[in-house]
Amino acid sequence: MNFDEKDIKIARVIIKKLCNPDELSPVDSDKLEKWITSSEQNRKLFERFKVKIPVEDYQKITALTDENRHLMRLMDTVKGSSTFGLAGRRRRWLGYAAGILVLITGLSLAFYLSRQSEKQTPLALNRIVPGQPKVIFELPTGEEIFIDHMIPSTKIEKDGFDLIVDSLNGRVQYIPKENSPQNSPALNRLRVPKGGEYSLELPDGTVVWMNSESSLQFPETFSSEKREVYLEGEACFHVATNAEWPFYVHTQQCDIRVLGTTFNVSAYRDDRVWHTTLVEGSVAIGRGGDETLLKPNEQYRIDVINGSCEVKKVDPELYTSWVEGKFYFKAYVFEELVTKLERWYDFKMSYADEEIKKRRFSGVVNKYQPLQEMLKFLEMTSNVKFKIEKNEVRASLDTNKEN
Amino acid sequence: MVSNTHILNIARGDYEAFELLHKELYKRMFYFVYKLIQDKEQSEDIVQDAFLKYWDNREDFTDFLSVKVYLYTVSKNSVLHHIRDEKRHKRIMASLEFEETFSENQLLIATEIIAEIQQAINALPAQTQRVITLSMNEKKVEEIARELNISPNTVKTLKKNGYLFLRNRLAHLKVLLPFLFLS
Repeated sequence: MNFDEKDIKIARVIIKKLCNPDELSPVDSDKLEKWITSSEQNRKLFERFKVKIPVEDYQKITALTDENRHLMRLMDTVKGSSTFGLAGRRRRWLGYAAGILVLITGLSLAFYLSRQSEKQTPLALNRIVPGQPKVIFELPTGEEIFIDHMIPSTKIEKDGFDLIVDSLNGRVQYIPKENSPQNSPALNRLRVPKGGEYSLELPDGTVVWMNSESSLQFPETFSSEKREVYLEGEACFHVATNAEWPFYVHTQQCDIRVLGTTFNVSAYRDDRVWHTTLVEGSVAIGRGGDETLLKPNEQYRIDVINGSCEVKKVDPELYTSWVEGKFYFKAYVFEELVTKLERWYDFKMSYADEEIKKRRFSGVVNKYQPLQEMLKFLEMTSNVKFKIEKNEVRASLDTNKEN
Repeated sequence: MVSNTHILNIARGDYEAFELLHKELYKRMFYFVYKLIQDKEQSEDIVQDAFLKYWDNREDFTDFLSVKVYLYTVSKNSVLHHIRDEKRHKRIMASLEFEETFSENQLLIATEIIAEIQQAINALPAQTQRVITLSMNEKKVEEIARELNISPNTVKTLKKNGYLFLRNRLAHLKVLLPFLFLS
């Protein structure tokens, strides 16, 4: 039998079941039930793990091997192969790989040449690169610390706290010093500019993934009664559960009371609709004295202009895929999609034809590719074409194309 | 933690990201293979080959989950190549510290569960790690107290804090659930 992604996913469901059985979603429960009943062996394995997880056996076995030595040997081979051809490398894949390489180069060159002669492709001339991990940490004193992918992973020590910067993962961890005053309400601010993203780990273990053009304020130390943060823009929260220490996310339009959970909040000042999407767990949203309880896969939407609110069933992936490095959009009005793209790529879109704004698009694209790749994808699936000039993109209808 | 971004960086030839992937997955791959052939040297070689093979084909991958599946698959195939003898294979599969015979798929699932939990345990203070490890091994509070030479009350506290931490830590897995394929 071959392996597939399902095996790894079911392992995750089992971990959840073992660790946080109350938070298991109905979909996962169902998956697990199906897996358990599909074979007697599966059931036995599950029952076994409920009683005993053989971590000791794992520790003993993995202690047999020297991970660092293995890594050095591996990297020597890998680096050796790319610098000196194939020194020290097993030659099994050589013929095969070289064949493919030539073939691909040949093909792409032919493709490139044909595109060149067919028509001038304005897209190839300008490159607008996607956003990168970058963030500004603002102390209550007004002092600012700039962090981007160019600085190596490091520990920044300040009077009241330490910042541990993990550049590779775009994550900063905020750790107040033990002797720092308790319940200090002065607010730190983490600001992610246009074309940036970053995640923050708070002292209680909560992780916040921040999207472009967003800022989060949090106290130097949480009060002993509650944990409170203030959001502008968009962020995905994974809140460390603690029933006696509630977590609040405040936005200008509403307050979200969190009961231990994963959810996404989009509260951009210039967006008409602000929304909170619950992935797992439970949150309560307070607005003007009312409180609405959300269930997983539900979204609470506020229309900022007319003040109306509604709760909608949604596919949470649509609203959290940015954390995973993707733009995932389904029947999006083009104008809305562009707003998201502009925040990430830092450019301005203009329209030769107003009608384009209302077109709908669907798809999943990797958000780390250059803008032109993204636009090429949109061109392929519609009759809209794009022209890039410096930081501006002009959208027009392609009259040669029926659609 | 390795994300799809790292996989995309590896595709572009980023050594640092590749090293990180190794750090994240080496031990569990070794465990998986060792459980099947119970030979240290051969297990190391098989895992090495799997990582090299992935590096050779790195441009074909855009997400972490399929890299994982690939590494397990390549390793398993090398192992099967190794153990032609059906009887030997059966005997080995039965020796997984469990009484029953499990399939490779079940071994993969077991490995993933244990490895994820172990990684979360690694983030705990040393003494708590020992308490949790023993307690997952069905040891009673009194036995653990005796073995580590600490009071049963300390064991209880460390155990409680440890499990609370693990639960929160492992809950992060949810957010990492894979999404649809890239365009």
